[in-house]
Amino acid sequence: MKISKFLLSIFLLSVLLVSCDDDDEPQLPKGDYENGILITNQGPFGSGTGTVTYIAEDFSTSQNTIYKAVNNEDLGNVLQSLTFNNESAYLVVNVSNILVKVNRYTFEKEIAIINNLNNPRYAVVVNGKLFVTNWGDTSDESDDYVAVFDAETLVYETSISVDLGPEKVIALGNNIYVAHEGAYGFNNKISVIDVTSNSVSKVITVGDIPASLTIDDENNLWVLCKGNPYYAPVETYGVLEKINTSSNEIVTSFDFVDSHPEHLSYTNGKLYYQNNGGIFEMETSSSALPTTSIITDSGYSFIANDDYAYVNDAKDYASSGEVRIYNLDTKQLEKTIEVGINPGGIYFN
Amino acid sequence: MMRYILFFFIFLISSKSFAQLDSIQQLKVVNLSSAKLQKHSKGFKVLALSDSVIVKNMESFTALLRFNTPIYIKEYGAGGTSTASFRGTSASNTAVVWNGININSVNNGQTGFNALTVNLFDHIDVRSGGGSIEFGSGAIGGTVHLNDQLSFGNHLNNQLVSSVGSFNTYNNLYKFSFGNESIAAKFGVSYNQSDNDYKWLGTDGLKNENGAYDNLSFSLGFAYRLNNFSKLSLFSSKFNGNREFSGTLPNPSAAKEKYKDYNFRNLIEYNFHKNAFTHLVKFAYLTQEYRYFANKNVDNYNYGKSKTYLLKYDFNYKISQYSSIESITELESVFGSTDEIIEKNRKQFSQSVIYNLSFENIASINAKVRKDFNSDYNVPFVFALGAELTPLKNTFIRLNGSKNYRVPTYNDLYWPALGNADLIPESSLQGEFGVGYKTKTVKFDVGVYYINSKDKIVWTPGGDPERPGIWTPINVAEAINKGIEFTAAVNKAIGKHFLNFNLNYSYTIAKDKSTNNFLTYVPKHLANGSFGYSYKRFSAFYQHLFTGEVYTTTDNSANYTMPYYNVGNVGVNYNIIKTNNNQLGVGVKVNNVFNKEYQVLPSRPMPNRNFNININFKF
Repeated sequence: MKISKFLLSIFLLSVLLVSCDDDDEPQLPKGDYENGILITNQGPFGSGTGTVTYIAEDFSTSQNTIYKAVNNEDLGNVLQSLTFNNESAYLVVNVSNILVKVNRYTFEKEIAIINNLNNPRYAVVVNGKLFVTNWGDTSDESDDYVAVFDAETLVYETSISVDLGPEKVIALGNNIYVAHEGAYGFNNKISVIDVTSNSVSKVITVGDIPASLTIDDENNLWVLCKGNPYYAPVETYGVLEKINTSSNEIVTSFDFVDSHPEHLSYTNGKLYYQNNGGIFEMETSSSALPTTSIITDSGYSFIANDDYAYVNDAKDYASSGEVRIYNLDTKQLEKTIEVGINPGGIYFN
Repeated sequence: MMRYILFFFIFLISSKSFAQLDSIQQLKVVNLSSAKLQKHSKGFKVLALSDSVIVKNMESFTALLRFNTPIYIKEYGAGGTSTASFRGTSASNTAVVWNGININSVNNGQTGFNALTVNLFDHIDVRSGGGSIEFGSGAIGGTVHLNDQLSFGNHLNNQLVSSVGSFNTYNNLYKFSFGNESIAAKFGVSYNQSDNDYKWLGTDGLKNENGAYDNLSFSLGFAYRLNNFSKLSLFSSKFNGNREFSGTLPNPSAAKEKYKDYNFRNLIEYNFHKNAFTHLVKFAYLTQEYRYFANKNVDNYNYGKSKTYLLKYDFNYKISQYSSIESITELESVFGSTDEIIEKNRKQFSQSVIYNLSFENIASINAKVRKDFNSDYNVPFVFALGAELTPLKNTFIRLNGSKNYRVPTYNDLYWPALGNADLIPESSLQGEFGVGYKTKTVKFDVGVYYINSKDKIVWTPGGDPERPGIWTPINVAEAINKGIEFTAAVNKAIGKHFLNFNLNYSYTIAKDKSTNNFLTYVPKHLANGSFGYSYKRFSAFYQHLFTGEVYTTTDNSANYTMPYYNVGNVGVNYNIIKTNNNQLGVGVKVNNVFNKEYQVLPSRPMPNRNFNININFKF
């Protein structure tokens, strides 16, 4: 790993610190990509690079490959996720094993790191620390971890060993909740990590394959578990878990019959997810799962945010994808915009 | 790009205007498989790569094909996975045939060209188009023939080729052959290794990390003339290769994959020829294994292996001076497994009939039919027709048409939870028309072809409505491939100066019929050429490759195309010893002489300028 260190130093040399607006002129835009939607496109499998698409807040304009346009370099293979903190956005590139910090408004690269990452997946910032979930080596089921970096400098601090296949992560107070889908295997855990001690304070067993997480206005953690796929040793179906974040206990479990729901999000007091080719809406107070979808569509990724639902379609996984934007009031398709290859994430800048 | 094409054409035309002179004396060699291929390929284009061509691209089989044939090769970084696209068809539509036996992998239907040793084969032929029905499934785009050569008659030859180059690259080859009136024997061993840690041009000091390879191979051939009518021969070859798979931009240090290949091929042949009858019985036993290590530092791996038993009986009856009929009966049993697929056995029986007709100096015709009976699925009845007409001296017209198929691979059929047992073979209909001109000094051939493929096997998400969102293979796509292939070769001698020039140019249009979009990774323009010069003991050559732009996405998005590239190699050679029996040559070769930055696949830079010094000792 000496070479990696050498590379790190090269990356560090290219650091540009662009921050600090010294005077306050609130009218001036902070960058070309302020106030809009960012789509992370994983890129083609095997070769090629992940890309980022910017869509204006009013959907009037869009721009593909913005990272390359600004920085004249590629992000790397399989852009897994993005997370924001203050003026920064952090891009996690899975196969190329890179974490890139950019200015979220200009998309200018600030720092990139390659060390202390091993199959990085998702990241979150709490109290100035960046927590990155890592599968470790995929042939080793016991080396999975959450790496902790200083969010500003990306200097490595520590690693927290966790259960198999840590994936999405969400923060609340001094806790982060890590969902364990199980990497190439199958898992059914949520790790609760106390960021003040960088230790796992509790492991909650949930349904199989907890693939998405969200927190509602009452600070309940909602976990949507897909269920084991049919090619698993035993196929299981989806479960929606409601977890009380004070006790970190499951309050309610909603079982899906014969289906594998995905992509849970929360906005305007309601939960949204995708199941059986449709988009479903559910009140957090509801005592049962909704039975009819509000929109007939499904995609590679999906999120509801404010007045709109965004469905990312990867098509044949080998061509430009598109995002279909639905008005949640009228349930009508409002706009279709071409994005990159394998659009896996939707973020609001 | 036009400048380069223009350069080639100007050169071609000017060299054709040279006065006609005697050709370079070529060593006559006898090779059964090669001879048979020629005989069975009337109306088809066959490009022969001679020993002198092979020695120029010893670094890899991929490089040999890339610089000398019309095949486009997708290579995941130099030395990595390398698969062929012949006339715009998919990797499993190019069959690789070893001494008349199809050796494509049972697991994925393909041959990786970096898992073949270039320098142990005596003769390599590349045949464009389908219709090679005597070599089994898959050859819709074309076939690559790897042949061992055995010759009777008193001789004892040794050859040692050794080269040392950049990135700690060593290529070594020793070949021995011996013959008398009743025995012909040969033995070869080859060892190649490289750190392959070339500089990634256009980056801030990045290198091709995790790209090292080494491979060791042996080949053995033995033939015994039992009497005036019959002989027994035996061929065996073994290949063990280790390769690391390099990574992608911008972080090559993330790469840690490793791959091992173990191939073992054996063939016994009995040949009886008396009067008008020829009987040929072949028995082959082949094993293949690959091991894929996701992390080279961990001993866990995924594997695939197969065993193939093949019995072939070939009966030929010469009806008259002008015609013959041949029957080929084949029985094949394949056992394949992977770490995910328990061993499956597939048996296949096939019967082919081939009729040859020739009128001296006017025409020759091949007609072939084949029917297979397979334990797993129905295989279509296939046929091929080829004709070569020679209306004028030195001029020929060739025509061919064929129906071909490709069987689903073990992965397609049996991959747990994903495979599809209901697949049927892909099939294609194709036709070709060509004209050519051939003298001792000048040869050219231009052909147009059309291929209509249907039921192409494509892995697609949600292919099976019962399994939504799951990647499964289905018989879905229909494709049209059409194009032009042009080949020219010129050999000239002016006094003691010998010149030779070769050019392949192909124009390929391959489209998915349902979307009318171009297929990905098929360059519309592909050209390679070489120019050689020798004077007394000195010789020099230049090789050039132009690969046109390719689409990488099925919607042909302009955002993700791979740009065209030009790359050239140059070499000089001096024979320190040159007698009838001994020859010792010392050479220097510079690959990518213009130090061009290029990529075959996105994010995977190819080697910068690199050097090697080689010796070629024949004694």
